[in-house]
Amino acid sequence: MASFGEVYDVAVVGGGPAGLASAKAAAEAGAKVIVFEEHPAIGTPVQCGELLSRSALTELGMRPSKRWLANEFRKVRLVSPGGTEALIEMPPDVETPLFTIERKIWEKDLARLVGKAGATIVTRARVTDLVRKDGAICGVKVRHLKEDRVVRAKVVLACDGPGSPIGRKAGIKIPTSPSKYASIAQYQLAGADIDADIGEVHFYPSPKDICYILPKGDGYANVGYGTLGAGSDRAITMLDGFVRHDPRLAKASIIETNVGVEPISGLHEEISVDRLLLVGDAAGMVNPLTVAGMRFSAWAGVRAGRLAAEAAEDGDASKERLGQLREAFLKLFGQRFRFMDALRTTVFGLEPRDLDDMFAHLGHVKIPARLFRGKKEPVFYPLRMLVGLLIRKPRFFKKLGPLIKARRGGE
Amino acid sequence: MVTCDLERCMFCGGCVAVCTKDAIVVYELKVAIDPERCIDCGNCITVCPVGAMGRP
Repeated sequence: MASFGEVYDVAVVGGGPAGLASAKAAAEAGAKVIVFEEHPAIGTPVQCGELLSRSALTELGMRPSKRWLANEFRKVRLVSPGGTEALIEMPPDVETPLFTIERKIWEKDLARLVGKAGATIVTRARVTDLVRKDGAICGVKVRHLKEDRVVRAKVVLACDGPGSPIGRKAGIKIPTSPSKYASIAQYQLAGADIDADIGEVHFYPSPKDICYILPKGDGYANVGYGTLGAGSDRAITMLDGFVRHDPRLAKASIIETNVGVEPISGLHEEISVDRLLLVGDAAGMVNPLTVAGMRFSAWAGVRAGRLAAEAAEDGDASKERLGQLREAFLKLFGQRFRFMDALRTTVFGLEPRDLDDMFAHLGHVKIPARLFRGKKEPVFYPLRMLVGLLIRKPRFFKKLGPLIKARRGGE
Repeated sequence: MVTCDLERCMFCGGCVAVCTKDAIVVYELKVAIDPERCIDCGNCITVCPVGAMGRP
């Protein structure tokens, strides 16, 4: 029978990547930490494409493990609505940044490290509200196995995912407009005729309908569709259309369905109040184009955990102090998020024939190995190649010009 | 008022994120919509990935 105490330094709401990363870091910094996860298992339900960044592993002190590493791949194929293809290839002699994982097992592996660090994780425990004393947050109300409990904590980390219900209860304004959220549906397919070395992005049937294939090896792949605030129809309907239209996928078996809604408006204006801090998806730490969140949750979780442990120890958990996380995040990722946001807007404004021209112009792109050394971002390389298109086809000046300018600002 | 078709719902909680009135709670295989709070804005219907949210 799981039992837990009544007083902690840090209470973490949510046992996803942000919550687990926070708990691990806070416990390692010496704090007494408890994590509440509402679901019966860590790692489920999967609301994720299962593409992980190596930097997330580095942040968390993890190494690739056979237990959860699904597949590494080196190529990305882009396909226009008209069927024109571009292929982007990583150099053979560098560690590929592209790999897929079994998220359920990976997250359990992370939870194992959290336990080892000395934090307590409670599953089937839903945080229903905050506890206040004279108006100040001093803990959480938890419903666990039909019992309502009060747990006091010096700092609360709200890692409760998109929309952060607990952050809202703390009075933090969270975007609610559907245009600020991506709506995503994904099938895990078995028996698909997919090349394990190629991930794919299809703009189907229009430039604002983004479908993806992430190979997990041996005909096993995650195939998904995301609306990114402006899709043609509901995500699952569009995904069904995509799978039906591609003969490599149509006959495969759906062995799992995953859905989710993710914020794509970037980091929220405010992520802290006295004694409470939002981390991860709850704070809007999601790439506005790729909807990648795990690496940001890992990065922010580690910092938030340390910050919370320090704040608990010296008794200053003010809004401003916890808000240091926001400043640090913007400094490191702000420009990238702005650029990704601009890229999404640009792509959505393109006509199908624009994508045909762009992908034909790109053809087969081999990213030079030198870009993988140092701080450069190899993902920007294909974009730089599109500059040549501006000269050949003047209509692209208006469409891509502002984007390339924004890119320069970020260099 | 908005209702949820539990045979379609995947319990992802996306509707909770876009609810302007904090009227929805999703837990495990349950979805509770507070009729007193729901203002029928339709945000949840727009983002629901599986089309479970709707009007009767």
